[in-house]
Amino acid sequence: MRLSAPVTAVALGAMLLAVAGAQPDKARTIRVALTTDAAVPLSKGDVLANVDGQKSPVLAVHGPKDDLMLILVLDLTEDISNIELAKAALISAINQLPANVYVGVMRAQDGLQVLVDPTADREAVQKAILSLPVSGRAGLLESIEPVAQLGDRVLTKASIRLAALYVTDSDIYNYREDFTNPVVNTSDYRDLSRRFPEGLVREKVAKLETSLTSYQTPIYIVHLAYRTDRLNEAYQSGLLQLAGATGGSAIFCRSRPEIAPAITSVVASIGSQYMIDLQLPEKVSKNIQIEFQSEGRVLNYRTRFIVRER
Amino acid sequence: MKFGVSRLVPVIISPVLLLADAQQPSPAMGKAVEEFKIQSRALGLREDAAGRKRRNGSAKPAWHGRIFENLRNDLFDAVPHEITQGGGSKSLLRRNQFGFNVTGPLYIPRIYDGSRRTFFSISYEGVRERISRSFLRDVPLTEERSGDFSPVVDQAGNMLPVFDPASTRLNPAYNAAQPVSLNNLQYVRDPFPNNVIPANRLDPVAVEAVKYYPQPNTSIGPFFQNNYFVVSPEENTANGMIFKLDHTISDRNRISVGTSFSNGFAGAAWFFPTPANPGAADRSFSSRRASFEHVVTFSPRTLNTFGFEAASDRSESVPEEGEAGALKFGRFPGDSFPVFRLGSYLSMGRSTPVSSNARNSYSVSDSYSTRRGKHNVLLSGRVSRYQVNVFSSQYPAGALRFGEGLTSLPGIINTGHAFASFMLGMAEFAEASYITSPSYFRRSNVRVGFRERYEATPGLNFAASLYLELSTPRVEKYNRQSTVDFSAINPANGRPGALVAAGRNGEGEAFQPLTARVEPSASLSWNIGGDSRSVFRASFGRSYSAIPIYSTQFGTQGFNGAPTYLSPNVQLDPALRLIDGLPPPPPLPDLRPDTANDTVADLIDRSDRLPTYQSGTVSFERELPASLIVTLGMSYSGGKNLLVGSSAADPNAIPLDALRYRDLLNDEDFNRSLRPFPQYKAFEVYYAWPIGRYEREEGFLTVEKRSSMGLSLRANYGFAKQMDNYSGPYGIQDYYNRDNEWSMTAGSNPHRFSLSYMYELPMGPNRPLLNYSDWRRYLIEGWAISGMTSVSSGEPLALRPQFNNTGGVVRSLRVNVVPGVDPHVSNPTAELWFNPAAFSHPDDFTTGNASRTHPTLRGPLSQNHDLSLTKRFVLATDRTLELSAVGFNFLNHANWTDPDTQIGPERAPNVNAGKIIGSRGGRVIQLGLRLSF
Repeated sequence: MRLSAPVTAVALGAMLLAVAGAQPDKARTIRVALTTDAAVPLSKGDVLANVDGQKSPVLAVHGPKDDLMLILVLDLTEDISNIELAKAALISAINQLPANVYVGVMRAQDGLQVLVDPTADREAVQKAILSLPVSGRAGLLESIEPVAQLGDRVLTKASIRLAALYVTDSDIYNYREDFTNPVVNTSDYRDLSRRFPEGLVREKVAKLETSLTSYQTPIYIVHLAYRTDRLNEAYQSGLLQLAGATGGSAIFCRSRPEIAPAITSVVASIGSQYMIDLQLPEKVSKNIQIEFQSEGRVLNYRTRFIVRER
Repeated sequence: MKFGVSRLVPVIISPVLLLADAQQPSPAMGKAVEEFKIQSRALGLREDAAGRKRRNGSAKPAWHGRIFENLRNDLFDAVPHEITQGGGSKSLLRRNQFGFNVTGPLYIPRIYDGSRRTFFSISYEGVRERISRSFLRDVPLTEERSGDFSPVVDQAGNMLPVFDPASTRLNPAYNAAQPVSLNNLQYVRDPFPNNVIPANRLDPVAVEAVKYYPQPNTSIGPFFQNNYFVVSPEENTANGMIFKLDHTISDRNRISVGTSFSNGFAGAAWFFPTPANPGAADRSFSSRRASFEHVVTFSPRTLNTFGFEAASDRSESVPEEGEAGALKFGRFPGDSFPVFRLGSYLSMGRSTPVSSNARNSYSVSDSYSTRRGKHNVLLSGRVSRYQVNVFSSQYPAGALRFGEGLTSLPGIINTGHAFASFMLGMAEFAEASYITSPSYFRRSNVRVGFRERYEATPGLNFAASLYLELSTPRVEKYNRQSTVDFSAINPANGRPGALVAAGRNGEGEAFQPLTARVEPSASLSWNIGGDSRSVFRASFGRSYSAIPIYSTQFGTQGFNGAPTYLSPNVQLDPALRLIDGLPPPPPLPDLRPDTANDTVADLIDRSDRLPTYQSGTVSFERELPASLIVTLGMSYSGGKNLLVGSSAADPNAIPLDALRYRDLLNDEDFNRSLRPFPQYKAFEVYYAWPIGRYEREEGFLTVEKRSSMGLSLRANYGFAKQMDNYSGPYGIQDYYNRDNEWSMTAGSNPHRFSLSYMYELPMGPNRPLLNYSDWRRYLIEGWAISGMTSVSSGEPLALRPQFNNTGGVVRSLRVNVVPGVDPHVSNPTAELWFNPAAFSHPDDFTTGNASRTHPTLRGPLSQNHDLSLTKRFVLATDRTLELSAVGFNFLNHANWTDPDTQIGPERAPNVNAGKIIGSRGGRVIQLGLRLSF
C-alpha cells in the first residue's frame, strides 16, 4: 500500500487535470443577461450562440426559478416626496420576489457604500431602504463602474443570476464632479463654448460606456424625476446608453404616478431575467459580437462585450 | 408616530418574508454572498475600517478632469454681411479659450486622505481675444468742416438752407393771431450766402475739434448719409478660477465650500482712433465669490440646509494715453474730451470716461424641509445685504448739445443744421458733472416663508407658498444722497419742490419707507382619470421686486454738481458758446433747497410702490407613442408699478393742451411757467420711477421627444401678445394720459419657434449602423450632433416723425395715420417693407394720432441656426479626446435690419422711409479640443 501512494498521487493529479480540462476556462466564458417574451422557459438546448460569427457552446442557462442576487443601489438626493413613493414601491416589489432572490442594498449618494449585504431577510432590506436619508451629492456616474465590477467578481465565483438596480433621482447639477461647466469669467460675454453645454456629460457617458462593455453585470436604472433642461436631457440620454451597454434598461418617471409602476415592472423584469453561460471560441477579438437564436422566441440581450483577461 | 410609507409597511410585509427568514441559501448563493462581502471590502465599499482603508496604501486617488482649448479665427468664418455691405472684406477674429478642471478626493500624501469624505474641484479658464466691431454712421462732409453747407441736402434730397443767427430780427409783418409759417414769420433771418459760413465766423474750438473727427469713407446713402464705415478691434482678456470643496462630516452632516475669482480686461472698440472717440472706455473687471453650505439630515424625512454667500464684482475704466487735455475748451480744460452731440452725426467725446464701481452682496439663508404624511413642507429664510460703491463722472469735461434751431429759419422745420450750429460754436443745451467723492449705497432684504405640497391622491397634487419679503430702501453710508421733495417749499419761488438731503433737517437716512410684501403662489398637477400619461397643470403666482441700486451716482445732487445750461430760446440764443467754455464749477457741497433749480434734477420716488408681477398658466401634457410628449398651454402675466426711465416718466411734463401756445413755447421763461415745477428744467428718474404696466397673453405648444436611440429633441412654438404703456426706443408722447400709450411692447415677438436637438449617431459597435468592432470602429463611433434653431417674427415697428416742433412740450412725438391707406405692402422686400404713405408728419405744435408702436407692422423675421458636431476618441477606459466643430449661424443666414421708420414732412419726405438698408450676421466657427482623464 505504501508503494501505491505515489501512484495514487499521480492518479489523483491526472484526474484533477482531466477534470480541470473538462471544465470551461473561466477566462474564456462570459455570462450574458437575456430576456424573452416567450412563456415557455428557455433551456440549454433551446439556444444557439454565435461569437464573432463562430458557433459557441452554451454551457448553462439560469432561468427565473434559479437563484438571483439583486444589488439595489439607491441614489436619492432630491425630492423627498418622490423618494417616499419610490421606497414604498421598492419594498412592495421586493417583498413579492421569491425567497431565492437575495437583495443587497447600497447607497451611491456621497460615495458608494454597502448598507446591507445580499440577504433573503426582507425586513433588513426594508429597514435599510427606509432609513436611508435624502441628502448629499448624486453618485450614479461615479459608482456605476464599481457596481459592475463588484457584480462581475461575484459572478465569477458563483453560478447564479445577478443584476444591479439603480433607483435614482439624480440631477446632473448635483454631482461632485463638474459636468455643468459654469461660467468662470463673467466679463467674457462673447463666450460661445457653453452654447452646447452637454459635451462634458456626453464625454463622461462615452468613457463609462466603453468601460462598462467589459463587464457582464446587467444594470437597470429607474429615474424618479425626468428633467427637461438641456443638460439633464443629455444626462438622461446617457443613462439610457449606459444601461443599454450593460444589457439592462433605464426607465424615467415624468410624474409621480409613474414611479410605482416603473419600479414594479423593472423589478419584475429582473426577476424574469435569464443568464446564459457561454463558452468563447479559442480565437476571438477583444471586442466580441454575440448573437443568440432560439426558434419561435424573441430574445433581448446585449451584443457587444470587451473580453478582458482575468 | 409613523407616517407615510412606514405606515404601509406592516401591511406589505407578507408571509413570504417570514418564509424567507427561515430559508437557508443554496450553496451557490451562499458562496455569492460571501464573495460579495469579500469583494465589497476589497473595493473599499464598506463602512467598517477595513473597508475604508486605502488598499496597499498606494492606490492613486481617482482624480478626473479635462484640459481644453477652443479656437476661433476669422479664417474659418464667413465675412459678416454688415461688413460686406460696408465695403469691408475682413472681420478680425482671434480667440483662444483654454483651461483645465480637476476633480476628485482630496489626498495629501502622509497628511490627509479624504477619499471617501472630502472632494475638491478646481477649474481654470483663460481667454485671449481680438475681435473687430463694425459701425456705420453719419459724419459731416469735408466741406461742412470749413463751413460750406452747399452740398448738404435734406431727407428728400433738396438743399438744406442754413441761416445766419446773427441776422435774426423781428418780422414787422408778423401776425400773432396766425401760426408761424413761411408766410407769417415771427423772426426773419438771412441765409448764409451760398449756404457757406464765412471762415471768420467759425468757432475756433469747433475748428480745432473737427481735426479729431474722421472723414467720410463710404457712400451707402441715401444721399450723404451712412458715409462712415469702420471696423475696429476690440480686445478681451480674462483669467479665472473656481475652487470647490465638499466634505462629509458624518452621514448626517455635509459641508460645501466654494470660492472663485476672475480678472478681465475689455478693450473697447473705437469709432475713430483720436481723443474725440465717443466709444466706451476700456475697462478692467474683477469678480470674487465665496459660499458655504451645511446640510444636516435629522431623519430620512427631515433635513436642514444652511448657507452663506458673498460676492463682489468690480469694474473700473482704464484711461487711455494721449486723451487728456486734447482740446482746449475755454476756461474748463478738463482731462478728457468734452461730449459734443451733433444731431444725426456721430457725436464726439466719451460719456463717463472715468468710472469705478463695486457691487458686493452677502446673504445668509436657511431652509428646513420635512415630510409629514401627505404634506411636504419647506420653511426658508434669507437675509441679504447689498452694497454698491460707485464713482461715476458722466461729463467731467461737459456735454454740449447742438441743434438745428439756431441756424434755422425760426419756427420753420427742415431748415438749419445741427453741425452748422456747432461750427458757429452755439450750443442749445449743456451740462457737466462734478463728482467730489464716491457714493456708498446700501440696501437689505429679508425673505421668510413656507412652501407646502400636498398629495391629495397619487395623481393629484397641490402646492402653495407664502413668503414675506421685507426690503429696506437705499441709504448712503455717509448720508450723501439727496432728492427733490415735492412736499418741501422751494425758497426761490415759493412753489412745492425743493432739494432735501438724507439725515438733515428732519429727513431720515432713506427717502423711501421700509416695504413689506406677501408673495403667494399656488399650483396643482392632476393626472386626469389616474392616467399617468396625461397631466393637467395650473399655477398662479404674485411677486414683487425691490428698487435696485444702480451703478450710478443718481440722487447725490448737492454733494456732487450737475449744472445745466439752458438756452433762453433754442431758436434764437445759445445756452453757451464754445469759445466761452463752461462756467466755473459750483462750490460743493451745496445743500441749499434751491441748489438743483434750473437743472435736470434727480428725483427719487418717495412712495412705497414696488414693481408688482402676477402670472397664471394652465397646460395639458400628453404622452404619445414613440417617446413623444405634447404640451399645450396658455399663460397670462402682467405687471404694474414697473420701473421706467425718463423717456417714459416726466413728472415735470407740460400738459399737451399747452401746445396751443405754439411758438411761444420756445421761449424758456414762458415754457418754464407752464411746468408743474417751474424751478426745474426736467427730472432725471434713472429707470426707477414705478409707473409702467404690461400684460402678456401667450399660447404655446411644445413637442418633446424623450431620449431614445440617442436622439432627444424639443420643439416649441409660442404665440404671444404683449402690450404696455412705456416701452420703446423713443419714449412716450403724453405723460398725463398713459392709457393712450397702451400699445404693443417694443421688442416683443408675437411668433416664436425654437428647436433644440441632441443626437448620438447610431453608428459603431452595439449600434444599428456600421456595427464594426474592428479598427474601423475608432472612426465610426463617438459622433454626436447637437443643434439649436430659433425663428421669431419681427418686432412691432415704432414710427416717428422727422421733426419735433412742439416747443419742447412733447419729448417723443408720434406720426399721424393717413385714413384709408393700407400700411402693409403685398410683398414686403428690402426695397419697400411697409407703405410710408399710410403715415404723415404731424403739423407744428400738434401731436400724432398713431399708436406708440404699430399694432400690425412688424420688422423682418429673424432666424438663427447653430450646430455642433463632435467626435470622441476613447483613448483608454479613463481617457477620451473630443474634437468639436461648432457653427454659430452655420447657414450664414443674413437677418435684415429693421426698415427706416422716420416719416418726413410732406414737402420733404424721407426717401428712405420703409426701406431696409442692410442685414447682419455671419457664420462663426469654433473648433475645440478637449482631453478628459
